[in-house]
Amino acid sequence: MAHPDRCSVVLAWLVVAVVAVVLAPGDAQAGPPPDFRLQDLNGNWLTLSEELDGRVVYLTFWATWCVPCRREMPHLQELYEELADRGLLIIGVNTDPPGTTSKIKPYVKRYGLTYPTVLDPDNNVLDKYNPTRELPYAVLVDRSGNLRQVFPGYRAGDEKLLRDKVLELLAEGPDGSAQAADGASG
Amino acid sequence: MPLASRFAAAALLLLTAAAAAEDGSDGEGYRIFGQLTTELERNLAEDEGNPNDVDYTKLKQLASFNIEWSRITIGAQLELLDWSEPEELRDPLDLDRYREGLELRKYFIDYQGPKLKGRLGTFYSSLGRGLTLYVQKNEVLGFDEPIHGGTAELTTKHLELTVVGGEVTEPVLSNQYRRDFEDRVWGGRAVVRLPLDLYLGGSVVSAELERTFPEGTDEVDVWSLEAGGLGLWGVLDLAGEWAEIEKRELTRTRDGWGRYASAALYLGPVSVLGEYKDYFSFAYRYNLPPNAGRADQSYDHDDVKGPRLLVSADIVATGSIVHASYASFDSHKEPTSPGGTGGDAQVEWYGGLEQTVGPVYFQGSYFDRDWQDRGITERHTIGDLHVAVGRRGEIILGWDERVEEAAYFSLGTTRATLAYSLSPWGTASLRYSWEDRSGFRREEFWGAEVQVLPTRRLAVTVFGGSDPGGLVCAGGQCRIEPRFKGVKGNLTWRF
Repeated sequence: MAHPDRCSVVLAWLVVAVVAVVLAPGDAQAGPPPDFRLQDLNGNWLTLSEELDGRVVYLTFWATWCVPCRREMPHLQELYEELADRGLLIIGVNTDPPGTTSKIKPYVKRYGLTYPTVLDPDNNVLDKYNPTRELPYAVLVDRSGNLRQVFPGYRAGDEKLLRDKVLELLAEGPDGSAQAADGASG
Repeated sequence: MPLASRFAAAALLLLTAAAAAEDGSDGEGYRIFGQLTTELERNLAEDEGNPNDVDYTKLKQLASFNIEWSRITIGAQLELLDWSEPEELRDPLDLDRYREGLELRKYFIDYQGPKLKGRLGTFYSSLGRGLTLYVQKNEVLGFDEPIHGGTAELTTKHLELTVVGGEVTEPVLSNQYRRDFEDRVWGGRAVVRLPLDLYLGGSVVSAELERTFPEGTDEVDVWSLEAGGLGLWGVLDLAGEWAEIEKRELTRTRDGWGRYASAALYLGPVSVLGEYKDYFSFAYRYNLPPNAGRADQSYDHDDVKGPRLLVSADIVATGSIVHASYASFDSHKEPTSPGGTGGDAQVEWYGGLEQTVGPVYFQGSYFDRDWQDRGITERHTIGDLHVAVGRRGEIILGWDERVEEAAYFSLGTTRATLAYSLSPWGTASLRYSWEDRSGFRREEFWGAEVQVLPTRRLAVTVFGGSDPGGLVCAGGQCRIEPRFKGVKGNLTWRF
């Protein structure tokens, strides 16, 4: 395997970082999230781009063995029950291996989750969103279909910040303008 | 795949993406995203009298780039590994040990259409429930060897077709023997959706596996039939898979089988899951069938059979969630089998509780496995107490104890953690662990870790101290993690 000297390596990494900084857009203009088509717990196909439909979407990757994911779930369910009518959609993307498929639905039932859960057993979707794959990992998409914020990990209190951000995005129109009638104070 | 070919493929893909992106109007419609990760480890020697136990430094950098344009995503991942010491002095349990220098680890072009999706380059894949094919990354265990090849999936209202093929490197053997075990796998799966929420399908996989010794390849053919129903009458899920395998090795041919069935019943806040597995001479490098057990334990799938029952309930009135499981497994060995044992009976059970009371959250579980024929008992106790402090703070007390006991030997590893987290800025933790061998040799380990997230796109983690390592499991797979003493840092930037 190639083994360049350390000076070349540092230079190469600097070039990579500069290219990334120049090319990558900031949070506010991050563009659409990578699209995917995955099966839900009843075998039905869900396509992300079809679900956006002017809604604010919180897409969260989780696994049954992930303790912080378990801590976050009741808060997400609470948020979903409160704001689904105003245009919030939460999609859980389970990343457990295929051998545990039978356990996932009982797990979802155990926590009383009513938002859609889809399966990414090969983790090819997770890889596109988060190549280092730590869980939970979530992204928030605005009504215009643009990825607005990422949420790596979960710490107690994150749910309050998420709620504030969701309310802010729900108050925006599809073009990013504020919707006066929306009552975003929450 | 040779290094030059990988670079050529990646360059071609990135050029195509750049051209496509250039074609877009003012940059709209495409998105560039990825991650840069830098890990630096300073490993300190623990045994100064051992000439093979030396201090060394490991630098690992990963750069992942993805360009998404319309239905196409193009990606590449570069890895750089730099070591201060020669390969033979590095920790043998470190799966990165035999790699060095700059390498293009991943490259792909991915098409995502309404009914057809496909990928050329590197990817992970499994078919069905993993009985016939399972090639996956596992970040926790450090397995990251994708298939280099192609896959396509066609889905219509009633039919799903998947084909897959390519080369793959087995990570653990490659590290152990210090050479790439480059195997080939190819196969496919078809599933037909039937009325009444039922389905019927099957998969076929062939593999050529590089032998450890002498040089050459062994061959594997495995096929399966699967059937089941999801959401039957709104309360019942059924699944079953029946597989046969033939392994052609240098001097012999072995046949085996794999059978798996599950039934899940949902009755309001109570869920009941029953599973049955029966695997005989069924393991090969690229399958991992359901283990009918816990994700944080280790399970064999070459010779084992038996049922398991899991019950979980959400006791809404008290804010409690309880779950309990009982399983009884055995091997196919008979008293007349070679080796003379009468079986490998194992009985396992566990129970767990989650409880939230105001600002306090508790979760705990106890796992007990009795290997009756081996005379070994395993116990695993987990407890976490979280107490909210202020609007965004939390104090966490954690306990994780694994004990393995036999007649004349016991090994216990215990970790106690005290942590404080402040949303969204990060977490600081202190870790005290000890390893106890048969009650007369006890080693202690101290460590401190700080994770800071200055922004949501940047994470910095620093750990200093020592850790006993040990059995680490995720998603039902387990491996022994190396002990560690020293300092390590990780910087991840998402863009």
